[in-house]
Amino acid sequence: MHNFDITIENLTKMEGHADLEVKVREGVVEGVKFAITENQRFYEQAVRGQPLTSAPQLMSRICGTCSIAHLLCCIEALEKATGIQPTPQALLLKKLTMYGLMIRDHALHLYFFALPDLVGKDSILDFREDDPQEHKLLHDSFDLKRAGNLLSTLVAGKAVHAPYPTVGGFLRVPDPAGIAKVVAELKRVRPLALDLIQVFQKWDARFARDTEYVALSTQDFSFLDGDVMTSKGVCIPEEAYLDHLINVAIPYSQAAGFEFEGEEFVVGALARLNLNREHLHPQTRKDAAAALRAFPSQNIFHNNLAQAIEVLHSIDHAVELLETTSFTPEPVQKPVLTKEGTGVGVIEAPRGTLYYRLTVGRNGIVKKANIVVPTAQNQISIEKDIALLVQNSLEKLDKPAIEREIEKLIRAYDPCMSCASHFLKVKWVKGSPLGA
Amino acid sequence: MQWPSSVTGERGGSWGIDLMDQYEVAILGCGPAGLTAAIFTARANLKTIVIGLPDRSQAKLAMHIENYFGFPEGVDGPVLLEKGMAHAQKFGAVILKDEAVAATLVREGEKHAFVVKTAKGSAVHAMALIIATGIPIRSSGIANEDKLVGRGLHYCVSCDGPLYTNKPIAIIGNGDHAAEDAVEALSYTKDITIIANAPAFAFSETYQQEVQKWGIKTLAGKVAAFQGEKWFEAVQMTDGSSLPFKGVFMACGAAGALDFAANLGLQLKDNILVVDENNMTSMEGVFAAGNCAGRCREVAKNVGDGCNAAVNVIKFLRSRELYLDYAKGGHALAVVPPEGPAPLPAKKVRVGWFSFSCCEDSTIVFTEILNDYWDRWKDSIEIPYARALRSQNDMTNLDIAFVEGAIASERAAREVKEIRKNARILIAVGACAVTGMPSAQRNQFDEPKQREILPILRAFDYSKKVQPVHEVVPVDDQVPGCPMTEAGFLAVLRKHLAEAGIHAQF
Repeated sequence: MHNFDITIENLTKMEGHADLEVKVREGVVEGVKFAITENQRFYEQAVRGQPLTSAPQLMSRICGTCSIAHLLCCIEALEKATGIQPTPQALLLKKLTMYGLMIRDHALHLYFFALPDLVGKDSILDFREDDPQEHKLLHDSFDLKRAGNLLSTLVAGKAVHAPYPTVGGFLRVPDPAGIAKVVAELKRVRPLALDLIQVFQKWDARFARDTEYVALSTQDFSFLDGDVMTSKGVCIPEEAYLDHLINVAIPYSQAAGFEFEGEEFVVGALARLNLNREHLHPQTRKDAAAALRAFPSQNIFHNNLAQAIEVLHSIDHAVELLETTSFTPEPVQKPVLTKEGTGVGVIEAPRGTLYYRLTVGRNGIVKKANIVVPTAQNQISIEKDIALLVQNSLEKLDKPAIEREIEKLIRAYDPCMSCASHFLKVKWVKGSPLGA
Repeated sequence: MQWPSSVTGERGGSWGIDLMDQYEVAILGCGPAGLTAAIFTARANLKTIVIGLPDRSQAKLAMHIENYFGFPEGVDGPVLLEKGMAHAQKFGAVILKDEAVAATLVREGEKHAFVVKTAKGSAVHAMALIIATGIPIRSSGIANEDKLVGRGLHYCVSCDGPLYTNKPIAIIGNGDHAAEDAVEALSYTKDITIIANAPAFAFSETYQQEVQKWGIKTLAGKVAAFQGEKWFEAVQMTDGSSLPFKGVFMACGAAGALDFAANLGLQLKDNILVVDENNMTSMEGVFAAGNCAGRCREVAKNVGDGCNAAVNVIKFLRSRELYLDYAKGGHALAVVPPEGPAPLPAKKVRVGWFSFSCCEDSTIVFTEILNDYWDRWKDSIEIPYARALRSQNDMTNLDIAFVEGAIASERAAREVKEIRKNARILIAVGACAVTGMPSAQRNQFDEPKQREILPILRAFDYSKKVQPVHEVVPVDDQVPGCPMTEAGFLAVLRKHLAEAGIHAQF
């Protein structure tokens, strides 16, 4: 037990491809390599030379599951670069678009990726039809995902690579009949979201390590605007976020890691709930009050609970917005191209803070792109957590059990390798295989 | 459930069916006898493969069969065969559209098994054989034979003889097969001429007597051509003479079963495999059914033969512990329990979902499709490989592998080749898998961008170019789209399920 290696190729039940290596010598964890093996597709390079109108749809292709986050963040950066102030209705439609994403994406992670660990099954598709609880959870997963999908389709045209949001506004507005249908469906699945919160509230999985949390502090918890907040009380305007990040080359990984002011940190639902839970929808705060008492929390498994609460919030706020707004078609605003401009978009993607910095020339062509995705920001924390988890488990668990615990832990972060493996303006550390 | 090679086209060979695929029963021949046997063995959960070319079955050439039970209005041979194949596939039989060319006995300690080699180079390992290769039609080499098939030129007297009631017909062949056809044709017409297409006849004594007894005309000599533009009109002999008939029946015979008999040392009588009442040949574990096992050449009898051979194969394999662990995997005995028949569990279609360089948007669409379709699929489909859905993944023996994403590295190329080996059907999904783009955008980068990304390409095992899946391994079908559409995916899935005989409520 004192000398062993753990090697897991192709970690499962998470988005994209990653491998893991852990080396233990004389009872001490000597090294952890969480290697994102997703091949880069070089979107930062590819977007250079593209007209700004086609850039958002291109960047949407970075990630299937959170394509809407890339789409909206790219649009925000381009709008800021070209002097567009979104109309109140466009802003509201963006929020609804994010809610559709959050419901579907979180439900996928919670039911399909995390829940099998909780239930002790390999896959949700193995859940027993003759077990009332398992049967319910399987069908709840379908219903909740479908509801998120419907909301996205209503507002944004599709749940994946949505066609309606564009630079300067939305190409269509939701129709009243569609709104009524989606509102009814969201209300129907709301109790399922409450059940889901309970399921994760009761889960006793725990792993905690002292770290820093970073998230946008949006006033209505709509994932879109506000300043960047940290658990140490630092408040940074969106535009300055990158100045506080330090890019760390990880030679064995196809993604770079990031430190916040020299320290590892965590972004995502757990960070958002730790920092901003008082801005959740009042109905959510009321009905999830018991679960909310878990926060602030350092237990990374509470990232699951936080996501479940965000599903409820997304339903509650979306229903309110849809029921209280009358949408009217409005023209898409034209970009002002008097000079070269740079814009920064920061939003809270399902997995955490997403940063886009784009420079657009006078001809409307994207000249420079710099993107920081959530999983890259969490990567160093994930490695440090694994090292501590293995060290703590050496005396208690055998190797297969440790491997299972590691995967469970990584899954709790809900990493997204497709996103992570794109963005490097890496200052390669000398002597690394990538060093120039 | 294994995937039929019918959907992989005529490929078989080096990767369609793995070298030395292991089966419990290999059935040689894809006609009514072989397919009936497959229905019984597959339904009894014996891992079954049918090796044969349905186009070569005599039933395929029967224009219309009027004497088969349950079809008062008659049934066309090709239709009956299509239904038979779908029926066998429904229970999980694999149909390899290839020709078995040799069978050999291999001993494995106490046990024995057979290795069947095919014309396209596959080797199939089985614990028992059913030879149902019939008396395949051997092309006579006579000019215009192909052109006039079904247009006055036929291969099956009992099927198509009634078309020529009281009309003059010719039967081509110099052996017992021709004599037997002639005797059978007496039911429809008295005006019958057997033309040897050879210098002399080679009837056995029994048939020689029959031919004489019924006044059937015989004509020795070679046939040069069949005459007729749109319809057969006459037989032209090499001596220049032209003999008009209303119809002609080919009865040249062939040695289909004989090759196997020679390989395995099976006992033959009058060019027919000798079988006992269990349809077992002179070698234990080798059964024969249909025309190659003799007696009348009727679909009904051959179906009965296939049934009898299959039932005895099931008994044979179950009663002796040969090679396979029957207790494992829910192999139920194909016997009717005293309290009544119990439905045997149908094998599920094994589907794998794989992803390479892409944004996995089609994976997301797939997980959304599950919302509405999983309940309908779950009894017919299992998903043993999908990293997004499970940790314990098994890619062996997949019926369908869906592959998303482009191939961007050596590792990915190795992996997709491994998937290809394990999957009967490989379907590329989404734009990156189908066209390479947008993941392949780096292929088109200009010089400065290429230089910028070069260190990364070098540091990891990137391929020089990003490739669509079909440039790395053969692809059977595709679902394009960025992401794939639900409708496009369902259409392709339905198509392949239907070819596997699953028409359920998808």
